Amino acid sequence: MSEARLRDQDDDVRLMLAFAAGDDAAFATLFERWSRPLLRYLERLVPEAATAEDLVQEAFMRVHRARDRYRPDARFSTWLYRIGTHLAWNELRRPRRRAPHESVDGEEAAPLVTERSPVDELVHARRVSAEALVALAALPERQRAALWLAAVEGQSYAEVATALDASEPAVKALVHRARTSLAEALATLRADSVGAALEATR
Amino acid sequence: MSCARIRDDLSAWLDGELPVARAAAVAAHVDTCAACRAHSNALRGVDQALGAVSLPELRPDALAELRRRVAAEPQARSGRGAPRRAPAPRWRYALGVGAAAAAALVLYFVTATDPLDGATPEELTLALDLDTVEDLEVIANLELLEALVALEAGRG
Repeated sequence: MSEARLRDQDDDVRLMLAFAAGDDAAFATLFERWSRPLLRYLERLVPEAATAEDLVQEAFMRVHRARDRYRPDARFSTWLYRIGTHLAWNELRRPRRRAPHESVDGEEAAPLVTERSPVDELVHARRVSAEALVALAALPERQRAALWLAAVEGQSYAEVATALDASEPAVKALVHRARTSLAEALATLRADSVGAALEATR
Repeated sequence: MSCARIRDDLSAWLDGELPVARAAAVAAHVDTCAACRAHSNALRGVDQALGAVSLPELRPDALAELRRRVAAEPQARSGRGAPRRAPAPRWRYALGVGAAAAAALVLYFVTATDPLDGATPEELTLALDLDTVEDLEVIANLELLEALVALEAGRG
């Protein structure tokens, strides 16, 4: 996509170019706009909410540092999520932070348990969303990232491929496997809760 | 068409990522096949469940903290001759000299953003970790791409 077209289609690109030209308020606007969605995504990738928030800071530090070299050859969000994804995966491979049960292998990453308790999740989201998050956390990290970007952030497979350094067919397969696994997990959970309810009324 | 082949494509269909003809074939099948429709609805339910996850709040001082950290950054680029607000000449230079210059340019950028510049002992320890090296490679690759795109587009 040409720079001019990107600038027209993506207001964030306009802001980033304004920031590169010295407009500091444009950077603040980008942060206000993208820090929370990025945090929500990174919370899916790393085990601790506090770490995810640090990674948001780090990602925007990279944006700040790279402003002079910024060239709009993709949407701003694609670039930002790509930086965030790599930071998160590097974080997961940091030896001294790895818990004993965690694996180094990307496709077989350890199940993720967020710091936020299930009770909190129930307060903040519907029960089924909390269940979906638990099931999502059990997926391999690339599936987790691909599904989130496609299904929640609404990114195209081409954009997800850029963020994850994957091919588009690979993204299609990752999203398919992740979405199917989650659908099965939710169906099982629902069947279990129906069974438990029946048991309780007996 | 078999249900199994339809189900392989349901996820991409929901994402609007199938070619037009294939998307029409899947839509027609889902209209007439209750089992595949149920499967499709189950997949849609996943998106609804995940989509209902609320946006988390950052610490209220997150932007102030970011600005503080940016201000405390080692000024890696000062003292290397290139003023922070004048990046364009570097690109024009690269365009004039061609691909070899682009490679040198990438090297320059990698060096210019070296986190070891003025780093605290803690940051030095971090930078010595293998994963930080990988991280730098990622950034270097991004910049190589950027340089090539700029060269191809023939603009500075």
